[in-house]
Amino acid sequence: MDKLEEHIRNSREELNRYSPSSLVWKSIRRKIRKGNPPLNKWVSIAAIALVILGTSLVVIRREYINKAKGFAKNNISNQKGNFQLKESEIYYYNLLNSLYTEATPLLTANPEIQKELNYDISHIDSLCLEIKKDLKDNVANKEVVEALIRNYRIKIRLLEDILAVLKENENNPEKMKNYEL
Amino acid sequence: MNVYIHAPLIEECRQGSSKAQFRLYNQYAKAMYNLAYRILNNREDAEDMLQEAFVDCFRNLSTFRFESTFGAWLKKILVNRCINQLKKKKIDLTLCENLPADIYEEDNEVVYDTTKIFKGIEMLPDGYRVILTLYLLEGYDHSEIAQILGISESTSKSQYSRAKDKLRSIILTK
Repeated sequence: MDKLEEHIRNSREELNRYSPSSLVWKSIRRKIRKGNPPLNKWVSIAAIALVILGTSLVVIRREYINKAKGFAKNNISNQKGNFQLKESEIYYYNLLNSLYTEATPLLTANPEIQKELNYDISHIDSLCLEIKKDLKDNVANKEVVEALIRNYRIKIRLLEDILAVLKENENNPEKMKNYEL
Repeated sequence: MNVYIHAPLIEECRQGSSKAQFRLYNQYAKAMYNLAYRILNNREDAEDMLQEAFVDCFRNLSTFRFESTFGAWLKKILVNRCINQLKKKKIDLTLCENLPADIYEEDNEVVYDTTKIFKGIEMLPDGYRVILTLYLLEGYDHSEIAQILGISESTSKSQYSRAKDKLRSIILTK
């Protein structure tokens, strides 16, 4: 290595006299952003997508669970309602039956009263049928069940009243005219 | 040679950190810009090549495998871009073959001035300047230069010898 070579190699740093303008870095940044989105950007996009997907799944799952719970609750409630209603129906049916059985010989002797009673009973029964139609749509509806039971009670009170009148009439036939329905 | 120099910084650049990219740019920008300038002898062209080399570098950072230093990798990209730029301008890098050699015997008493050397390099013909830059200032050997420029190794050697003589003549006659 001669003196010139040695001098150049030793003063290499001094020969780097120029500096690039600040515009070079700005251009580099612009080109990198434009042409090749940095990894961070993709990571951000992926993270946002994951958050959206995750949130959606949580919401969908919660709705599904709520629906399932609601369905189960309704089902249990319906079953409970059904059971209570059937129990009541059996109770009132038996009561009505025993009252009717008791009233039958007295009614046979008073066909006009029997006719009036049958008319009233059939009217109440048609109301019961209407209420039962509502029960098909919503068997657990408390108001519907109560209405049905109220009708049974009306029928029972009606029969009890007639039975009481018929019994009294049997003992005192003169009073009969005052209790005509 | 520690090829893992700036490894954490390079990793941050790979993650897309613009701060890390700016730090890496700052580490190498000046040296690379002066290298580009010495090859192209034009500051605007040198800035363009510097910009393109760094953009290439950041875009392809995932392919950098630490088989060399980052600086060597970046320098290779920049030199190739600069040589392609010269070729686009139809500059014949072997033109100097036909130039008569300036033979100056080196005087042991002579004291070289860095500013004169700097100016002298600027005045060298393109082919001489490129080979002198790559060999003397950037540390490439003649086989590497032959490969980069697409010339024979012996041509690289003879061109370098002529370039050095030419530079000496410029410095001593100014």
